[in-house]
Amino acid sequence: MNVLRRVHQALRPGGLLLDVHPLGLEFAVRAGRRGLGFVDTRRFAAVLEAMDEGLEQTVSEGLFELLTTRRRLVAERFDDAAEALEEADSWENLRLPAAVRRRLRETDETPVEFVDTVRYRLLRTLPQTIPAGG
Amino acid sequence: MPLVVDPDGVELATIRELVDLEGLRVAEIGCGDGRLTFGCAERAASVFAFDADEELVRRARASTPRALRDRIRFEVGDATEVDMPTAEFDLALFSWSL
Repeated sequence: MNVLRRVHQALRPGGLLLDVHPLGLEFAVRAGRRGLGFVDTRRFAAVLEAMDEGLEQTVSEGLFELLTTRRRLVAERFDDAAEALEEADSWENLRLPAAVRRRLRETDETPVEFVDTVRYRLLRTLPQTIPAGG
Repeated sequence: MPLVVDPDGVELATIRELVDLEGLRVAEIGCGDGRLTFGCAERAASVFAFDADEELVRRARASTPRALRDRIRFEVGDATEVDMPTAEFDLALFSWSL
C-alpha cells in the first residue's frame, strides 16, 4: 500500500500505472512439444491475493481507477531440463510436484519451458481528495 | 536463470498494445536485468528504472544499447526507498514486482 501511495504521488495527474504480474494459473511445464504437468502454485496464490488486496484498497480509496485488464501466456525457456530444475530449486512460493520433477529429470527433449499466465492491469490515477478538516 | 524469459516477446507487445509509450516519462519498478526497460525506452522520452537486486541492475546497465543510454537511468533500490519526484512520471510500470 505504501508503495502504491508513493507511486501515486510520483505520477502526474491522470498518469497511468501498469501492473504486469504472473498469476500461477495452470503454470505448465513443457519439454519439446510434450506437456509434463503443472507447477504447484497454492502458496503463490496466497501471496497474490495479499497483493491484490493492496491494489484493490487503493482503488476503493479513490487513488486509482482500473481501466482494463489483459491476460497472456508467457514462457520462460531453458536449454535443457537440468537448467529448468535448477531454476525450480530457487523458487520460494512455487513447487514442482514429485511426478513432474521425475518426468523432467527423465526427459531429453528440448527446449524446456515453464509457461504461466501473466496479467496486465492498467490503472489511471485519480486526484487524491483531502478529507474535510484534514 | 532461464535461457530466455518471454522468447516470443509477448510482454512488450502487450505493454505497447495497452499504452502508447511515445514521449512518455516512465518509472519502471522492479526492472531486473532491463528485459522490458530497453523496449520501453525505444519509444519513451525517458525511463527511470530501478530494482533492489544490485547484480541485476549492474547487468542492465552493462547491456544497455548505446542508442538508449541517454534515455535510461538505472538505480538500485525498491519503491519504498528510491527517491521519486512528485508528479514527474506519465507511467509507472510494475514489472512482476507489485
